[in-house]
Amino acid sequence: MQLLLKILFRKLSTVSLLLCVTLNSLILNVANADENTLTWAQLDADQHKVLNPLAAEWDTLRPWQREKMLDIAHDYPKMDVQEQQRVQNRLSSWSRMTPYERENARKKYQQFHDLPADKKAELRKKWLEYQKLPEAQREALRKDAPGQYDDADFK
Amino acid sequence: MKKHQNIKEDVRNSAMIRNLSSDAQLEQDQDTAKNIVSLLNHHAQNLNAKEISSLKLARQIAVDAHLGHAKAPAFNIAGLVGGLFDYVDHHRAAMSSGLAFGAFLIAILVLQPFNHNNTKNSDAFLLGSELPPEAYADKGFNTWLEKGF
Repeated sequence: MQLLLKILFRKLSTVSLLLCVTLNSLILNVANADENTLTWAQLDADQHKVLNPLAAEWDTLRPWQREKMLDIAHDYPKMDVQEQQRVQNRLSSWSRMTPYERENARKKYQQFHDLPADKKAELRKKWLEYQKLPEAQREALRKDAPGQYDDADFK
Repeated sequence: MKKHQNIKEDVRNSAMIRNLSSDAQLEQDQDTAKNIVSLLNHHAQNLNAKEISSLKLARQIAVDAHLGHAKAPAFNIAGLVGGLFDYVDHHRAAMSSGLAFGAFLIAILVLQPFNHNNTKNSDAFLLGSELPPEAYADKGFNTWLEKGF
């Protein structure tokens, strides 16, 4: 009887552990899957307010794009007014970038974020100067740049 | 010296006497037991069928109870709970690890929404930064900077 009880208890422990792990991943996956397929009408008022620049194209976005945009809406309240304004202005162009461009931007942003204030100010000035260059010259510079990623890597 | 030898001999003698008396006691006990067995055997011849049947039944109950106690406890709730507690008590380390792992899983589940992009590394902060995303994404800008313009 004692032996039977031990075996039963061991089996129950193993089964409950497996159930815990499976249930955990299942809940997370279901929650994420539900969130990623939300239509514009299903978003709440706060999400509507943040993601308003994307209202017209929301339902055409792919699930992974929606997920990223919902992440932005999630972090929006943590930002100051000036940052929030920038987010609103840049959302549309951000949603139109390719995965390659976005990944490149994330890497460069990390580098920029870690710079001291004077270097950041210098880069802002340089960006303004760069924008004044003729488009042909900027295109030539883009062609000179070594490719780090390929769009195929993100598909 | 002689006195000392006498004392030793007295001690030896008293020990022998004690041994003899305990041997005699053992012999007497064995005789008594033999007498009891003999009496029981003698009277067993005179038992009637009803008495034999009752004794047989009583013996069977006693043997069953002894075997049940020695080999496996009867299946009841008290026994089951007792067995569980015994098992937990004897596997305390394994149980602690199991409980810790369970708590870890629950913590992941509960804290997951709070850990979701709570750093300033998310896309939201990129969009809110001083430079527009095009500045980060434009490879030409980077090349231009590297060339030292």
